[in-house]
Amino acid sequence: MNNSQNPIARQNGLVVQEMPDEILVYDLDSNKAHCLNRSSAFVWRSCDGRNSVADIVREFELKAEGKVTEDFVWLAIDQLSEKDLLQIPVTPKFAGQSRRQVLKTIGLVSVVALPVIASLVAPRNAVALASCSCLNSGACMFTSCPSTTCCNTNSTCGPAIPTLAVPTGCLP
Amino acid sequence: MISETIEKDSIFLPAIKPKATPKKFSFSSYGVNIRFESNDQDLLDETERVARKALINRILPCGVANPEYVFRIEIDKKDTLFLFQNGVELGSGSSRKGFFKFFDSIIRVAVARDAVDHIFLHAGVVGWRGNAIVLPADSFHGKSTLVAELVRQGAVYYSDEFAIFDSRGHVHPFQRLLNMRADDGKFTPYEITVESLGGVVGKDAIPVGFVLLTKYEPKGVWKPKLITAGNGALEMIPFTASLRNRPEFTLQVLKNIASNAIIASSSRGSAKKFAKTLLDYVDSNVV
Repeated sequence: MNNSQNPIARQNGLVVQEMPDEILVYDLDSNKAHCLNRSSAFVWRSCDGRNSVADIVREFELKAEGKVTEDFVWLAIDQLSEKDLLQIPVTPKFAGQSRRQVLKTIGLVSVVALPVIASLVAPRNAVALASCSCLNSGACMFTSCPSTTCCNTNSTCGPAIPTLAVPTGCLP
Repeated sequence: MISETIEKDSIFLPAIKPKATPKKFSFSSYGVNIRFESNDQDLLDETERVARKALINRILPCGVANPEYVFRIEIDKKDTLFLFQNGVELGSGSSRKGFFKFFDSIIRVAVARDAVDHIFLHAGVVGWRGNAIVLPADSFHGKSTLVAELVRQGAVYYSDEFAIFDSRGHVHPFQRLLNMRADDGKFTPYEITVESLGGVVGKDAIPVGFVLLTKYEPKGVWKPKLITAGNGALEMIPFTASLRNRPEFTLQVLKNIASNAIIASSSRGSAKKFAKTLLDYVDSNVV
């Protein structure tokens, strides 16, 4: 998306769950889940293709969310774009800047919470999730079991069980 | 469609003991329709026994034309066991014990993924003063040990592996034997009864009072950090088995849980010392 265009929230391939003050989003394509806090959720809901960034600022203040700047809204839009939650990605406005620099740019003086999106990848290997059981090493991949490569003789994704050395020579 | 796949795949099967005609056992568990097939009646019987134990006997024998899961268990002339799920080989092994330990996990995960009207969260659960304490965690992070210790301290046993939630977000008992692992470097599994801990098993579904995201760390320090409902639901997602198959229902239930419970995360030390700390915290902040 050209940054002069109005952002549009992505809808396809997402499962959206409204929470009391947040939004939970599960991306069916990437298998990632996101939690949008109140501020980022407000901006995301406002990205309808008709609202400009200036409009979203006005909406935000009108709904008594607090006084914010366009940079504040851009901070949310940058994250929404990065998380693939916009129909067309935007060129990031705060690319390469540290959190400190961004905060300085935004010049946040109000009590409004910064837009934050927490994300994680949903598990793919439910069997390992349940028990770390395996019949071969392949079942141990992509897990948080004690071993991701070994399926030991207890059929567990755990360290190989050392075999006792059998003395072959004569003892003195 | 499933049976067609199996027929096609059977061309590539190893030499199977030609001792019997195919045997079947069909049932439903938590609304998931499953069929076991084998050409060995003893093997089929053992499979059923393992499944009954794995699913705490929540098995309703029934014949369904197109079950969600068809598991075929075969044995070849060298006594190697093979497990197929919907025509796809999941694994093979010559250790009967290891094979059925693996199958025990597979069957529970199959039901957990597709359960109707319930979601399964990989978590330990105890009841405390009418509310559930839910402890989501990966395997090998001390869930069963902590649950056992909480039960010793007077909590009611609900589960050491799966928290089973209905649509309201109330948790139901999944009262299998507690599965412990020996601290012998081999993770040798063993089971203990709730009675041996001096505890009792929960019978009714109860609301969730507290969700604690924690894992054992040798030098772990109890420093609970409260989490918002949204972030709490997000943090529970890695422990749900049904998200990919039933995302709308799963998120709805997670919302119901997270909206009504206090959610926190913290490191912790040994279960023995921590169990009392946890119950005291719940007494002061939740109940």
